[in-house]
Amino acid sequence: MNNKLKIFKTLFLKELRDVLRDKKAIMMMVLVPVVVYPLIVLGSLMVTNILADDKDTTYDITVYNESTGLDARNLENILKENAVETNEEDGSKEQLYNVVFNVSDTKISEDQCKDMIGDKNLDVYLEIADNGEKVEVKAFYMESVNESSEAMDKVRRAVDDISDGIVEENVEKAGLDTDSFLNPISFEKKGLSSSEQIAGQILGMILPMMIVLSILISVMHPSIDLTAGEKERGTLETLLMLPVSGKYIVMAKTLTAALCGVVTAILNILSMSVVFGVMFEQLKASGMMDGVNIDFSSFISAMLLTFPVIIVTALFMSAIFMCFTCFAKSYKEANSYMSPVMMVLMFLAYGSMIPTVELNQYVAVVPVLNVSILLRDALNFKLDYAILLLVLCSMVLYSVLAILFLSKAYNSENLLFGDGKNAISLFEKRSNIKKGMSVTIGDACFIYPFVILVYLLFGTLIQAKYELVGLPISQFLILVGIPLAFFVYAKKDIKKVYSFNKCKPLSLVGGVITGIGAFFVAAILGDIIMKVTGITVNEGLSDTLTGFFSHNVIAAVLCVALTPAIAEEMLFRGIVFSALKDKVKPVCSVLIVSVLFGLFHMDLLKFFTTGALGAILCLTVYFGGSIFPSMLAHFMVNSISVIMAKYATEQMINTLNEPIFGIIGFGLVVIGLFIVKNSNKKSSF
Amino acid sequence: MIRAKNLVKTFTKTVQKNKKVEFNAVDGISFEAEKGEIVGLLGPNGAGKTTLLRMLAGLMTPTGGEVSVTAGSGEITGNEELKRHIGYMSANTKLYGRFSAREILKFYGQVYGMEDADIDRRTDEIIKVLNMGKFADNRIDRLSTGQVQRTSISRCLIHDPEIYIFDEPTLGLDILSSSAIIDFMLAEKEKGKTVIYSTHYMEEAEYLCDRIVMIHEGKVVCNDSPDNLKKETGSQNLREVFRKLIENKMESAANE
Repeated sequence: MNNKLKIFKTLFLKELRDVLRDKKAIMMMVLVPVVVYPLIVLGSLMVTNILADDKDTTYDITVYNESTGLDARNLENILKENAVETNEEDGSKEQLYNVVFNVSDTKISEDQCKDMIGDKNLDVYLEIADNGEKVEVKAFYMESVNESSEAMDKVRRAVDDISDGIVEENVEKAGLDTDSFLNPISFEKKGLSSSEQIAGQILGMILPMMIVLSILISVMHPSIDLTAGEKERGTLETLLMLPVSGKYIVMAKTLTAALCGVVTAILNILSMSVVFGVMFEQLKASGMMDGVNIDFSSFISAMLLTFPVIIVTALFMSAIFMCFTCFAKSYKEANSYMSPVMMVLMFLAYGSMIPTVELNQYVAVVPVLNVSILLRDALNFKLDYAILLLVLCSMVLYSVLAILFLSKAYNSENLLFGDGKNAISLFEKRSNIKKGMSVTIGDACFIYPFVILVYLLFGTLIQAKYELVGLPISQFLILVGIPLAFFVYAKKDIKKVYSFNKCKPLSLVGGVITGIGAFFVAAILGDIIMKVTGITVNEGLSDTLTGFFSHNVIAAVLCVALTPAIAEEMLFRGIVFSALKDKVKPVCSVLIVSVLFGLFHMDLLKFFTTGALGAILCLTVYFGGSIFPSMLAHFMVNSISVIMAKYATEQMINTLNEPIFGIIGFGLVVIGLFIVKNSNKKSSF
Repeated sequence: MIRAKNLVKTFTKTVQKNKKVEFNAVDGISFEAEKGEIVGLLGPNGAGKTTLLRMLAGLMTPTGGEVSVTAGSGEITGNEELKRHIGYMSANTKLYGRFSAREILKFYGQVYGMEDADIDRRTDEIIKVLNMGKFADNRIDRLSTGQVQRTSISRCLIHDPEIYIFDEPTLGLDILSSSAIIDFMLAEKEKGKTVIYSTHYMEEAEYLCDRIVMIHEGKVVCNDSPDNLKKETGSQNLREVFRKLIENKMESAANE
């Protein structure tokens, strides 16, 4: 494996060097995020500034007045008053626009009026006449001419002002209180969003799309160049003469293109932060942001959380792009294949601009759209960890599928010598699969995201419908059933995959002791994290659990404690750990399994506690060489939690959080693991 | 030693719209090349030489028949293992233009699983033998045709294979460059390596090859030493042999 890893590294570095020496790729990678995007933003900002600064606008208004109730001069005065803005603090005055007011002696016909507006001699023409008690004002303007409709708004405001004045006068004459009569209801808006939330909302509209598009653009060139470009330059046949499987070649290529995307996205975020920072400082200096204070550091956590999202997006795009480009014979041909793909992906990336699209579990499996909305939600401080996991899993799954497809393509001579149109079967024919193989990392990469995806989508539905019984149904059906079906199809050695090895009764005892210890360790760890970081338990989660416990204790123990002890162990300490243990260093495989196990629990606090638990259970399998002690340990942890949740008093829980129990728990874990390890040794002799 | 046993490769080609016809580009070819032997593969364009060489090199899977290779300690099995013992070069095995010869050699050496020290030693050797010192550190897209061809050969040499398969290695080269490649092949033969190569230059084949395999329309026409072939057909040189044998075939095909 180490040798293969070395070869893979060599291939990857070769591709990377090839891309880095390609000026075009560097341009796409650096130029777009660092130069083009900031320029677009600054440019559009300047344009709006120029438009806003235009103080020389003059509105030509002509009036024909045959009314006795409304004086045209009065209207002129009010129009001109409205054109000047007085600063309330220092009393300085500012002319916003100019008004040229003409009184005409004759009526102007509509056609004439149109011509005059068209020639810019006139913006609005008013006809004022009496109609019984009322004064009738007819205003003629052209909606299609910008200045004309602006002038119309000014006239409207002036007429309303006059009208209000008359009403006020009349009310006063009638001896009523003007304020309470005219404004019987007072209305005041109070926005509760913090400045950060408002800024996040605005950033959330633009930034996700920009990031996704910049990844798209920077990944595209290397994806084409490393596949179709390589074919065009004739180096593919040389590469395939190497004694390596197509899988490694493909992975090196996808990772290289993905890396370009990640670099671009990070550069993009940095450059946009600088641009927004500068913009903000300028606005502050010009006094437009008085009273608004944005703490930009509050976005750092959102940015950090989006980092894994950026990685999977880049990986997804490079894998998907290559699935299309690898069939092209030249760069040009690949470009034309890419156009429809680009269109679809760009359309999906625009998702963040539509505020009504919410990130539910169905949107979360739509590639690119999910990422775009997830980034928006992160900037809006609305990130849901379950959805984050779902998005990550679905993107990884699609990428793995695409890479599988690609490695098939690269092992096929159709791609190299033929027209590339012959179908490539994604999965090995069953008759070609060797019997009794153990599970590989590739298998695990495919099964884990797939199972988690199905579990999050349908498992939660089953659990909501059948409540307590839903847990065993969903866990056995999805976590155990799906992988098992796959392994039967792939003729795997089930016993080997799940480490269903015989073990001594003594090691089962060790498992029980480890489990009891692990419970204490997890409890203390959770308490410490809660106290130090202020993260709390997800309330919805604990409500469901309390709901479960209102049932019969035995049923609750069976469903909530026993089921996961079997199903989760089979998935994590069975499949995932088996796939890793011979190929990766033990420390790394334990770490990976515990991170995956922590993620599976979809809660920030539980991530750490169950992660630690996962590590202990992994060690139990590692030392014991069998899954049964760890199943037992898992069962112990769960059933103690169930019983505690039902019977323990507040005081008992507080006592349990004393550090001494942590030390006892750790001791128990060490003793338990020691017993498991020793009894395993004996049985092997 | 490399042996082709009844090799068949079937392609489908589209004759008219939606009408596909199967044909055998290589149609039951058997021959072998021993240690220390240079075997020349001759035949008109489209005879199936390139397809045959690709199958021998493990780049293509034969539709029928098999390739067996004996190298070092014994029989070689598995495609990846096979590729470790073969150095293959053709007009289609181009090199990365953005790399230098030295970098290419390092990369290929690493993928063949060689130690860095071994790679460096072997690289210096190869550069000396093929006289590449002047341009070994320049980017390949800035080299001349002859220099590129020499770099291509050096790429096949890095893992010190027992069998060389060259598809028209001297195509389009000037006399100096092509004689450097011919000298190299002779030197490798002296070392006990097996060389199979295809060419259209008859004089070159006559000078170099211990045995000539002529193929036409995917079938072996003759398989013997150049001298025997000349005797059998009563010809002065290989060019005449080629014309007699191949033209005969073409005429009889036309008469049928």
